[in-house]
Amino acid sequence: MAEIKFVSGSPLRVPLIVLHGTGGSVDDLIPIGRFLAPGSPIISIGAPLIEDGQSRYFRHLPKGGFDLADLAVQTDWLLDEMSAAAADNRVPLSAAIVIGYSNGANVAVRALMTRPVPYRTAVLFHPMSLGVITNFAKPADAEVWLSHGSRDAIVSAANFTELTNDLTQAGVQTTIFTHDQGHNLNEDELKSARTWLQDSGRLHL
Amino acid sequence: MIKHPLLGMNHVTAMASSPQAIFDLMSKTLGLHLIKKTVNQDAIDTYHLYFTDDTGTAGTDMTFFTFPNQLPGIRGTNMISRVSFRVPNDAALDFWEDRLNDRDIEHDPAESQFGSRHLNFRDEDGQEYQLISDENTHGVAGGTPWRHSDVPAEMAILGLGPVTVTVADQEHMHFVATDLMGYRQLAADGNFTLYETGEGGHGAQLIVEHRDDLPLAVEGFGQIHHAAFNTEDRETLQFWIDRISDYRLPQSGFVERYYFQSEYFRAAPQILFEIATAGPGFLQDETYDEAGIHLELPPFLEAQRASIEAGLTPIETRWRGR
Repeated sequence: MAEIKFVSGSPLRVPLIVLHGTGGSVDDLIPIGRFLAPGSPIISIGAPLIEDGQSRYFRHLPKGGFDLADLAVQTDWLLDEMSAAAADNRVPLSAAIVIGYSNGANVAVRALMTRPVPYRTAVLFHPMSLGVITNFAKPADAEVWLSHGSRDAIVSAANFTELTNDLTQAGVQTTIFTHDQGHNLNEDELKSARTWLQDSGRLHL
Repeated sequence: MIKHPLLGMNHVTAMASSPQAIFDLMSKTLGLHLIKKTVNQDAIDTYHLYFTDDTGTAGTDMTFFTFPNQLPGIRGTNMISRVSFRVPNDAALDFWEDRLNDRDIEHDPAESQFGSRHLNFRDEDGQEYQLISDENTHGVAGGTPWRHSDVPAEMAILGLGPVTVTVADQEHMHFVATDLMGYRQLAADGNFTLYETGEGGHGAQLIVEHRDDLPLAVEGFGQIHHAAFNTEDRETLQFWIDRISDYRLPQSGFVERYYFQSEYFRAAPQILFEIATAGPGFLQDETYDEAGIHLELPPFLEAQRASIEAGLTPIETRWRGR
C-alpha cells in the first residue's frame, strides 16, 4: 500500500504530481513542489515497493538490471493512482505537471515516451535512462526540464545522453541543467527549474 | 440547443497596481458601489475589491485584484482587452465625456460601432475601459445605480456591457464562443465580430477582435484577469462544468466562491473565462452599510483575520457622494 498526500492550492493552477527518489518518502518532494510553484495543488504519490529496505517505484531483476516487465505493471499502477488522487481531491488531471527526483523521475519520463499519460510537462531531477526505447509514443506538445550532475556516480554522462536522445526521438522539447556535483539537488538547479516553470506558461489553467 | 443558455455577463476581474487609486476611480469617478472589500481566496496578501450596482446584481460587477509586487502588463494579442460599462443613452455619454475631462482621465473621442455610441478611456495603469450607450440596445436589463454616488441617477452606469477579447486565432475563438458557449454571431466590422446570447443586448454580448499582427500580451497590472459569464444556479453551473469537460478544455471544476459558485476554463491561449452563478450574493455576510467598509472574509479564512489584515495596506473606502 502506498501513501498519497495532497496539498490543496488554487483552483486556477494545475496540480503538481511529485515522485520521490529511491529510499525516500511521500513527504520528500512536497517542500520542493511548494518552492517550484507556490500556490499550486500538490499530489504526492509514495513509492509502493520495498527492495533491500528501500522504497522504490519498480523492481530490479534478481541478478541485477531493471525489471522492465515489473516497470510496466508499476507504471500502470502509478497512472491509475494519479487519476484516483486527482478525482478524490477534485483537481484537473489534464495538464498536470510531474516533478520527479531520481527513481520517481525515471518512471515518469519513461512513461511519457512510451504510452499515453495525462501530463505533458515534467521537471526531472537527476533522471536516468532505463534502457533504449523502441516503441515511442509521441506526446503532443511535451516539454521537460531535466538536470544532471557531472560527478553523478549513479547516472553516467553516457546514460544521460541516451535519455536525452530518446526524448528528442519522442519529439519532446527538452531543457537541460547541469552542475558539477553528484546525484544531489542544489539551490541553483531548483531556482533554474522554478524559472523554467514560470516561463513555460503551464502553471495556470 | 443548449439546455441552459448563458445569461450574459456576470463579472469581469482585472488587476490594478493601487487599491486606493482603483477605489477612487471606480467609486468616486464612475459611481460604482464597493460592495465587498475582501482578499483573493488563493492569495490572501492581495485585495479583492468588488464594484457593482447598488446591491451587487450579477452582470454589474467589476472586480480587481491588487497583487503586491506585480509588474505592469504588456498589451498585445491573446488577452481580454477591454471591459465596457453601460450608460442609459447618448446624452449620458456626453455627460461622461465632460466628467472624464474634469477629472483628467485620458479618453478617445466618442465613436460608433455596431449601432451604438461608445467612449474608450484608460486609467493610470493603462487598463482599457469603455462607456457604451444603451440608446439603441435591447434585451438584458441593467442594474440599479448606487444610491450614494454623486452621479445623477439618469446618467449613471447600469452594469457591464460587452467585453472585448483580442486573439490571434479567430477561428478557434469563434468556435468556442458559438459552438461551446452558444453565442450567436450578430455582426462583423473590420477586425471586430459581435456575438450575443440569451435575451441579448449590451448585457449579454461579447466582442472578438482579430489581431495576428501583435506580439503576445504579457499578464500584469492594468489588464483583465478573467471574464465571467452568468448562469442561474448550482444546477445550471453543473451543466456547464460537464459541457466544458466534454470539449476537453482545461478547467477547474466546481469552485466555491461563497458569494457565488464558479467554474474556470481556458477558452483560448491566455484567455481565462469563468462561468459564475447569479447568487447567493454579497449581502449574506454583512449589511448594506458595512459593505465595502469592513474587510470581509469568507468563513474558511476568518480564523486568519489578524495575519491577513497585518499583510494588507490600509485603504480608505468610507466615502459617499451623497
